[in-house]
Amino acid sequence: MLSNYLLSWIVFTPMIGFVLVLLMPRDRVSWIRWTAAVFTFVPMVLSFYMYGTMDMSFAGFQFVEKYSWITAFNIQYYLGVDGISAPMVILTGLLSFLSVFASWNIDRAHKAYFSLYLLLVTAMFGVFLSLDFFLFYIFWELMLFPMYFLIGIWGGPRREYAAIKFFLYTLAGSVLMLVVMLAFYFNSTDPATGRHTFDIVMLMDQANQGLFIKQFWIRLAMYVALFIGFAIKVPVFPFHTWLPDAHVEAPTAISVILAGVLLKMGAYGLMRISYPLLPDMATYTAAGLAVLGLINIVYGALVAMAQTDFKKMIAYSSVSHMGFVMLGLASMTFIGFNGALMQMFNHGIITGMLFLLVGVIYDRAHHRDLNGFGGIATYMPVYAGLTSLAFMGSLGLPGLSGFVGEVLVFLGTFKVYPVIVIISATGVIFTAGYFLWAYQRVFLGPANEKYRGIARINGRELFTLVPLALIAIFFGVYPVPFFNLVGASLTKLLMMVGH
Amino acid sequence: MMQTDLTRSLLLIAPELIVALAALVALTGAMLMKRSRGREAFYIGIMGMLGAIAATVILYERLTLSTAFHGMIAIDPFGLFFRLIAYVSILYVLLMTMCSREMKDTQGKWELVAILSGFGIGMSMMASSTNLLMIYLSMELLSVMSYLLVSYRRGARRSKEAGLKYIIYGSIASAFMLYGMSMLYGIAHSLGLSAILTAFMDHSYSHITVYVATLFVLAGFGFKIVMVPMHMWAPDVYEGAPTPITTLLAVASKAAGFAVVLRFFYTAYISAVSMTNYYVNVSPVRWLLLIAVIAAFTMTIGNIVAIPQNNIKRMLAYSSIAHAGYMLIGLSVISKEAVSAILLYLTVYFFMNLGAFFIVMIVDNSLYSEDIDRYSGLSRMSPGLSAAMTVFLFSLTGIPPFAGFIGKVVVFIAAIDKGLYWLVIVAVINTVVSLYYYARVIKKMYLETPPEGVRPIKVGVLPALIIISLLVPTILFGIWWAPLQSFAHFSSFMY
Repeated sequence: MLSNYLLSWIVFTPMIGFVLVLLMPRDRVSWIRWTAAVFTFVPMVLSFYMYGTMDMSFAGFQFVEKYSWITAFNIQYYLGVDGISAPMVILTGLLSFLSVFASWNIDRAHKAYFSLYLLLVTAMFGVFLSLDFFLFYIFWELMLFPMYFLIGIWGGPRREYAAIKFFLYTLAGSVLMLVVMLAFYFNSTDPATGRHTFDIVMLMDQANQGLFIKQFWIRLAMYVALFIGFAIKVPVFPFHTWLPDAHVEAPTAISVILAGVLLKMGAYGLMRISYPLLPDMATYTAAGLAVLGLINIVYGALVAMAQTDFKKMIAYSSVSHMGFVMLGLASMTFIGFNGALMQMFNHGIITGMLFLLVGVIYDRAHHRDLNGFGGIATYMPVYAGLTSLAFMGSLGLPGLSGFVGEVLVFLGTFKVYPVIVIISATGVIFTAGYFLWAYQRVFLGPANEKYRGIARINGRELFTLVPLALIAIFFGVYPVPFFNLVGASLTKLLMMVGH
Repeated sequence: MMQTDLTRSLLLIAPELIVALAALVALTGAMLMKRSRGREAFYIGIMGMLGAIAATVILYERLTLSTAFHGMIAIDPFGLFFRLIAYVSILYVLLMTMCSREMKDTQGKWELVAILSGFGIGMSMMASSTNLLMIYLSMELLSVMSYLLVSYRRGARRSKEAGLKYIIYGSIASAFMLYGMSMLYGIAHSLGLSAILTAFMDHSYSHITVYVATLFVLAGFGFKIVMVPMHMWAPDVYEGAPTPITTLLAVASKAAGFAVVLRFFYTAYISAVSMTNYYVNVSPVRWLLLIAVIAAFTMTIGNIVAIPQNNIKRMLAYSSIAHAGYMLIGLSVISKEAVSAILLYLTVYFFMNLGAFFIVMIVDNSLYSEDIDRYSGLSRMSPGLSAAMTVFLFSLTGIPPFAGFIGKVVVFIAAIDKGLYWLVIVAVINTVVSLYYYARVIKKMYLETPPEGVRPIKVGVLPALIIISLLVPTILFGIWWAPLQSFAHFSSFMY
């Protein structure tokens, strides 16, 4: 019973919470918070259960649910999970549960906040689990308006600007995706029924694609349109300008979700849709993707170094780190793909941690100016320790998971684009530079008298940070379970793109 | 023989007879009950509309394709669909008027019901006519009633101004249309739409004549649809008219325009290839390309000009121009799916646009303002109204999971099916542009703080019920629109 509808439960449990929160009286703040906690805890546990019962040697989709939804257009309710989406689902489950606790000190309109939050969680799970293009698109768009409000209402001083910018950029990307989706629909045939189809798995078979979209220029145009849609989400240079604004203005928990989950959707979209559906174009444009990855890595790191705002620095570090994912995907090698997916997962864990850490200090000091602190390690030793762990993880220190992802990306890509890898490697140095420099400015040096009485990190904050820290250490030492999970599906993806 | 045809025909226009009866009762009431404040008039109007809706539904259920009054009007699902839209919209407009502050002190509520009934008959005849003369007459009936309705607030200057502008634009448009129709008569030697088709198939005509005739006729229809370049009247009239009437124009009048333009082209210019599901344009003019270009301009101009508007009714007027553009995409290709896509879009548009206008009216009742700036902090004054408005506006933008998205998708599907990619790309870019001005209202409502000393807005039971009745389909059809799809598909059958 549970296994038959496992994925539906994962997707729609937060939706049940959404309805419950809406029904609650608005002054019952603790009811609302705990409802949100429970209804994100359940899908998290279910995602662990899914991981535990998955057949990892099987490359195809598991826990499949497939029902006809709108028969007139052959639209299906089609969910399934494989080695590529499984880590993303687990990451979503984990971060959405922990972020509820990071939202504990939201100070107004709790009911609206947590209901929108739960809606967002449903949409995120939906994106990673849908195998019908139309369903995927609905979930993809469903993320937009909760996010708009979450940034726009509970965000920082420039929240209005940041929220609408995020909304407009993402919508612009996704409407292009809509056109490509319809183009696929009309140039596809379901071999069994002869009808058009939105079924992603069916569209992966090139034999089911029509002649019109076999033409080179049409295909290239489709690939580029789809890529722009995903690139805005990643974000790939030059589509990244929404990200620093959105990140800086969003409340802590939403920054965590943005960096941890939403950015992954762009890269996930490339792996789930662009690569398998248009493999020849993926190969054709791979070099371009590698160059974009390089720009992301180096440019992101340099810009991060120039920041004085703690959160903005981390936002740009995200740009830099997502560059590794691009580079790994461009390599078209098994090791590179593994590295890219690992990097996606790690970035979710470590950057999630970083944003939580910024939230901790911001709640106390009410500013984020890197030059305005100093010697905080004296007052908040545990906090300083956790931050150093996250910084080290993010800059790729061996023994932490960030290193594994980066090294695999470089290994996988070096054979194909040696020059790009060599230049990208400078990004690692810059990354170490800005993280260490930031650490020095905030935590070391003479203790700033202003923060003498600053409260130490509390239990709730530790509760959100420690699990992430443990995961970062675990996968840094022993990443094998991760590779076991993704291996079969990545081999299949690689075969699809013809390598 | 004559006798039986007349009896049968009268039965087939039973909904219109009921409405006409309601109009007569209302006019009698106006004479007899001079003291009345007019509440009874609304009850009569509502009863009339409910009766007409019931009769239309029964006709729809027991339908046999036929014509009535010697081929002047067609009785088919397509016509009945629009007759249904006509009476349901008038029902809503009556309910809205009952909730409206603007219309509260207006004299002549009895006459208002009679005029609205006339509008309904005009619209339903427009949707059913298969004869140029009939089209012209019913359109004029609808137009004259609209002119009266727009200027109904006799005391209000802007209402009168709007009425005058509307008459001037409308008369010019119908003059052009009449001239175009006379040319078509010259070609076909008959006013029947099917005669024009026969004429096109049998002979070859000078392209230029047919071009000019088509353009002129289109000008008349385009005026009702609010199609660029016949859109100039809309912002002024929408802004000046009382809000319930604006809603009627934005929803019903536009639907009537689409009914007549679809019927005209699909009966007179397009022929079904025998034994197949394909249609071809048999006229010597490439009007499809013309419509596609007009559609692109209509949505782009509507959306771009909507951005700087400060009056919400004016903004929604431009947005309704943009939506006419999206619907015209469905007219730029010929297929059964395209017709049903337009019908589906119109249905969805009916709910979301009516909802948006209704909330504008409720807000205006309390705040005495239609300025977008006055929506600042509306979420604090009335969370329910703001949430409903947000759904309607996101639906108008075309964001899933709301019905507006489905409307757009089915129209895009119809266009891409025929390879009209460029127009769909123009449309999706327009969608992004439109988000900017719709989201501006949402931003005001939620992201800005209200001015000091505002009081909560109280929403009565009737308005709340009306909003819910519009909100539910707007959300439901976004998630599960299969019933709507089959309804629209069935309704796309023309005689």
